[in-house]
Amino acid sequence: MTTPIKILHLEDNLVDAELIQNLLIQKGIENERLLVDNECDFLAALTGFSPDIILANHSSAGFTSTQALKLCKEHAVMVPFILVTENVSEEYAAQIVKDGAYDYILKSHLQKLPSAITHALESFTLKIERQKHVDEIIASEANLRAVFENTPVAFVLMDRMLTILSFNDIANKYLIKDTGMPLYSGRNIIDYPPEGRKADTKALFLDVLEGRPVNYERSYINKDGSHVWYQTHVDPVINHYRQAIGLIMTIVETTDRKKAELEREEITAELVHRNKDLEQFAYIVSHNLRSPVANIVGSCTLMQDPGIDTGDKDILLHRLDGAIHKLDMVIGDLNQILQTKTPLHEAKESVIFSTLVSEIQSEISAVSDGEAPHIITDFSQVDEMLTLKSYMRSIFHNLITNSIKYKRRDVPLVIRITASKSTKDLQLVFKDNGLGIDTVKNRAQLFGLYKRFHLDIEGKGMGLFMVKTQVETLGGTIQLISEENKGCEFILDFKL
Amino acid sequence: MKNQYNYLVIDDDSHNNLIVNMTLKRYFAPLDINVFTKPLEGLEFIKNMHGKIRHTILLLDINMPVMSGWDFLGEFEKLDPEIQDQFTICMLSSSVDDRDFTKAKHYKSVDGYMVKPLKKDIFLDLLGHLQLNNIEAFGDIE
Repeated sequence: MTTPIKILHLEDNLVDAELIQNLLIQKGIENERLLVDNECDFLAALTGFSPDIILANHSSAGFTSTQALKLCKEHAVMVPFILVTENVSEEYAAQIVKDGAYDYILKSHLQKLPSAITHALESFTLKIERQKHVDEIIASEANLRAVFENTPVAFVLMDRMLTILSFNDIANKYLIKDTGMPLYSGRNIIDYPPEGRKADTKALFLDVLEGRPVNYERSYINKDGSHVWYQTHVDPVINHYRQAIGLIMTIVETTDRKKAELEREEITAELVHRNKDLEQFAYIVSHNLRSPVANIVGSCTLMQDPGIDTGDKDILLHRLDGAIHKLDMVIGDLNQILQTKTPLHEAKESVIFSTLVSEIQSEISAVSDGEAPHIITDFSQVDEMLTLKSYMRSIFHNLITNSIKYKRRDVPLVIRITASKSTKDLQLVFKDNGLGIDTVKNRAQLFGLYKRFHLDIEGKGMGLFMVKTQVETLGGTIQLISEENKGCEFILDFKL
Repeated sequence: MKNQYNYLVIDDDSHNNLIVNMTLKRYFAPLDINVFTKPLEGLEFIKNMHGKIRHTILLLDINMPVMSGWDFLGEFEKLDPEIQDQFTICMLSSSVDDRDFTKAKHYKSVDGYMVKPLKKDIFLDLLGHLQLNNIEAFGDIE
């Protein structure tokens, strides 16, 4: 030993004490000894002297070794305690060792003491070191646990057999929500997915063990109908030898991010839509608004020429009047379109398709001089929709008048209107046997404003544009199936 | 008026055609004016006018149903070059959209572009350019 060890010796027999000290020095155990013979001094030494080892006689002036050992424990002095004593009973010796003494040496066998001290100190050092490691591991584990339990990420650890080793609270919550079963350590993860998904899940996890991590995003529908999104990662746990010894599954709820993402997409689509509208407006202004204005300017210029004869002037004046009315109409159309584009304040109400059709039919027959169209309806599957009544009415009106306007002269007009419903959609189909439109050739312009497809029939290309705008404002889509001279079929889909 | 021409007008807007007709008659001493509101009929007319010796100025609209001015030009440029040479084509459109102006430049058969209404001074200028230098008169847009 390089530094002298500090020995606290409880002994009231001075002769024995010196005998022991001499023996220790003789055996090369360098030490600094403090000899005490009563409880008071012993107690003071425990804290003031900080011994490396304690030797104690069975009893010194009525203060017993048992009491001394108890004091050591009470003051957390965790150094080896060796009983060095006259004859004691086997029971007493056994009891004190059980209580925490390192060893006991009879004074009749003092030669054993030096090696006992050496062993005690060595084993004690080892014990302390081991304890230190254990403490560190416990602390580290506690830290990891704290991280594990306090993160918003769900963790499930599995071994190679897919047996659950560990999981945190949040993982348990998710699993209960998803499968209705709480997680148990020792249970196989494949017990959890429903029958139909077991094989796939297992294949997926085994794939990860082969070194191919997976991650996927999935949505679930809550009881209240809202969607929850989860992003799941499954990665292999790799040991020092680069072997996959298990799996770690992490699950993060991504509903907020996903919602933001979906909202962003919606906003982008809305912006693209608005932008197209703006382009359309620029187009209207540069073409359709310009056209009557140009005619007005041209007519006025000519009328101001004194050389123009009166007859021509009268014709020009008449045309001027027409152009001004046309201009007024375009401005009215623009206004109507603008109003359609403003946010909807009108409340949704129940619209009965059959009633709507008969109302429109009587309106049309009141104003038209021609033959009334034959309208066949089938609303047996669904005859009612909760929507904006004025829009739905306008859509029906425009599509029916469109059919009337573009009927074939030689074929009596028949319009079929049907409604069907699935869990997610409501579909309306308007089919006529009129002139039709070459949809391939005119694809790009089909629902454009002021686009017309027939020369002989008066029209300003407003109807289908308005229909499309209104259908889209109601969150629906419209498509047209048509061939020239074979009629038109408009298919309207509304999300429910 | 030393330079007299035949005129062909293709435009579905009858009011414009009236203004063009009166303006031409009043200031340009036309030899002949033919007006079509349907481009296809105008195209047929051109195909059937072999043997005409006097040069024809075609005033062509852009926005027309069924066959637009652009469609018309596509068909026109497929015709016999000898027929094409008999025509000077001026776009006459209400459009002040730059894209229409630029697009017109890409047709080799198009010689000029005017914004409606047809104006005496601008058309005179344009004719002067076409006659003097035999160059395209795109610079004369307002």
